[in-house]
Amino acid sequence: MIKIFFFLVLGTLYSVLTTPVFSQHFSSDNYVIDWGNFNITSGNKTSGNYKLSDTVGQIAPGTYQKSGVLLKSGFQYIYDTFITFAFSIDNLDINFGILTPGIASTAVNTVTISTPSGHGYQISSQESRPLSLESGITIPDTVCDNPCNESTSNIWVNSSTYGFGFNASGIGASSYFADNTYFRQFANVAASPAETPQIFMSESSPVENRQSTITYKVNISPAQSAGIYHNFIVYTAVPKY
Amino acid sequence: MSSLSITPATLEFWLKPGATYIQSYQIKNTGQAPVTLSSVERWLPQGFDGGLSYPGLPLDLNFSLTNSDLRLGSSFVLNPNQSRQLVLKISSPAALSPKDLYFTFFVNQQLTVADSNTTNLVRLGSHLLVSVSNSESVPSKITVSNFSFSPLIHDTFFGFGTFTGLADNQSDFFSKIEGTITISKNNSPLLQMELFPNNVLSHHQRTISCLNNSKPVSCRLGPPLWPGFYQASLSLKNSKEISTINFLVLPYSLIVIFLLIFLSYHLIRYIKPHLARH
Repeated sequence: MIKIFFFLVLGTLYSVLTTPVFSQHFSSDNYVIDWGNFNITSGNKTSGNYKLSDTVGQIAPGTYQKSGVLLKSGFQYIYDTFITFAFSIDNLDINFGILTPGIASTAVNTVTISTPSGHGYQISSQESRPLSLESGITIPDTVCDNPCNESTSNIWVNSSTYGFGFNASGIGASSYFADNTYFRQFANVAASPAETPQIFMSESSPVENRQSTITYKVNISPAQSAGIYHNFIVYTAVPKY
Repeated sequence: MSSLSITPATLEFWLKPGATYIQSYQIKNTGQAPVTLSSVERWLPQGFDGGLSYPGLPLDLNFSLTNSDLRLGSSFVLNPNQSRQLVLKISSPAALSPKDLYFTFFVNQQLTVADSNTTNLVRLGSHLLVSVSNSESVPSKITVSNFSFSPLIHDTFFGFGTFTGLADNQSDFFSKIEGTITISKNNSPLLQMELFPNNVLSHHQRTISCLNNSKPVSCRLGPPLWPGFYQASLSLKNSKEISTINFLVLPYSLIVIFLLIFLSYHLIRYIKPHLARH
């Protein structure tokens, strides 16, 4: 009995001490390198028909879950944490061409936004000044057919309502503009007192390549002075906290 | 076209008064607008869904870029398809009293004269949520108020019921909501929904949302549900308080359908003899 016990202990010790260690060992006369992992390949691979996230070569990759603990082991899981915030506008220069009094001119561009995982976004806009000539003559910001301002949109279809404004359409903008007949002013930071930049597009959930179409509209009165009018619009995109 | 990206998009850290923190940002330009500027602005939370506003508050912390060729606010050229690392240094004055401060590190395009009527410019921001404190571990003081379920009488087969509530942070430091909503019937738990770990800022409230596939979603309860009385309990980690509400599930869509069939049957029975007489 003692002999069996002795051999059992010896066997256990042998198996523990000789269990292969899953790491990489490189050595020569001049160097020794021990790596915990030797990652052959990892990452996200896609084609038209498949999407693959893999880790090859790493020790014990996979998802391990126990009460209260979730362990994601493997290089491909770094893609779970999308931490980049990106924003783009397809057309920076908006030209209305030659304006005809009483006939509204419109121009469009598209904004695209991608947020980090777990965060929504908000995009606000502001103008450097109303559309202006160098002399200071302006095309005033629209007040719409029914009153609108930089924070409230309203219907603007009447050809005798003059001014400059914008509409945004898309999932994130639907709570700011009821439909494409609704417009509002850009917040004028040159006004006295300066108007606060206003949010016109936001969502509380993360998005990837969410798009919205911005429609700029200008309608001038017959009394509007001739010339080239200009202003800057600044779009500020930030994630929700 | 203008297209900018910034990594990381948000940072949360604790800073001891008098200490310095250094963070690198990767700015990538995939558009055609080459010139950008960087700046830092302080913000305050606005509303209950993670929104914010910039009221022009003093920064209270010191910000600078440690890049040898740049200072904060100076312009630098980032050509299309180029990326650049900006290293932001954040220093806290030694005399600063413990509190939370929230900032956005902005990358802006510089204004340039253009031939167009309206020139668009892009500003992209990354948030910094800073807790200035002498202690690393700040106890969470989040409570949930106005926990409710709508509609209180829910149909067995159709529609979704939604749980709502406001997480309230009474402490001087931001914290994350950590908790669950447990739905029980006859005192036996049926379902557990994990709350999304949203940040609740200091002395501010935030609407609760649930965790689904790493995303924040509305806490919704869908059909089918057996008729009867249900109980929903919201419990927060690190808190002994449990908010409980009751709601009723009834097959009222079925009842309406049966009523309609019953009424139609009797209507037909009533009309048929009258039609036959004519």
